[in-house]
Amino acid sequence: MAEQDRFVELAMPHMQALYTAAMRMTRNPSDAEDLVQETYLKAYRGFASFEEGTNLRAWLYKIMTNSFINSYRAGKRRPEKADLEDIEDLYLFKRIDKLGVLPGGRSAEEEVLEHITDYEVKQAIESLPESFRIAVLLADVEGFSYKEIADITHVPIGTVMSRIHRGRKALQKALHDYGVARGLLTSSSTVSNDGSGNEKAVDKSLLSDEVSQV
Amino acid sequence: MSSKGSSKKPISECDDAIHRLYYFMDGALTEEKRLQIKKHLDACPPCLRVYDFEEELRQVIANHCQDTVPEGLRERVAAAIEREANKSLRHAKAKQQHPLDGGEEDQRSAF
Repeated sequence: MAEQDRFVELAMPHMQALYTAAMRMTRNPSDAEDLVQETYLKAYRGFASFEEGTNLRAWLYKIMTNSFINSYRAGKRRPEKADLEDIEDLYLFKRIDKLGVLPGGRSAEEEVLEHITDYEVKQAIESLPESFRIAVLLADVEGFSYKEIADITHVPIGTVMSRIHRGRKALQKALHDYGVARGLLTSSSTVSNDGSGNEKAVDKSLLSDEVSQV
Repeated sequence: MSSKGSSKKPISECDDAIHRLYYFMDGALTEEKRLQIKKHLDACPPCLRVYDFEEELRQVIANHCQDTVPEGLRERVAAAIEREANKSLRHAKAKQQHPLDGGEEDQRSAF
């Protein structure tokens, strides 16, 4: 009984974070609930093998990631594309930088960051291929280190870094596309780039539209 | 990244800082390298602007990516754990109540 109480006390506070991760992994609420429940049951059964003093949160994510990969991915979902196109570094920043300072003195960065919504971020993450999605989620939403993510996902640390970095760029591109859809950013996807970012092609008309709507 | 103004910093120092920006943000650099990048960011406004943007974007992503636990899930999980606990409790009791059964018997005779 004491064991059960201890487990509940230690593990239950992580449910909101686990459910959030489960939602991004499975991309639907009913599978996410099942995955969370399965994770807690497996964790409880294996609680005796959990080493006191090690990271319970990372251990729970490891169980969940394994469960997701083993049961949810296999069979249930159609195979998805496994790789990402190459996207340039600082994809979003470079495109925002083109806009310069807005009327009213606000920076374009502030303007864009302020208007990003829950829906856009969730959709953008869920649009990433699975391995990139999980890596970015664990790094940027859950705050795990490269080493912890390598352990959770059973891949070498170099692979983890590459997935996070490439996943972030793809995420930025997806967020950029939402910005374009809302008229916040220009749709020209090519930034004349000489390496030092010396582009000053300012198209403020696109922004003033947006600003006046707010 | 010295795009604005006439920064005299050699390009390579900016390139180095930008190239390692994610490692810097992720706390994955050696202390020596970390200080080197930090020193550059403190001295180079254009690079600092990139860093600030990337840091803030990460925060925005984390803040906008939270879900609320659906109603009833906590209770369902707690109930599932309770059932599991009772199951193992019954197993344990069953063993205690029948000391002459299989496994227990063998263990005893081994003493």
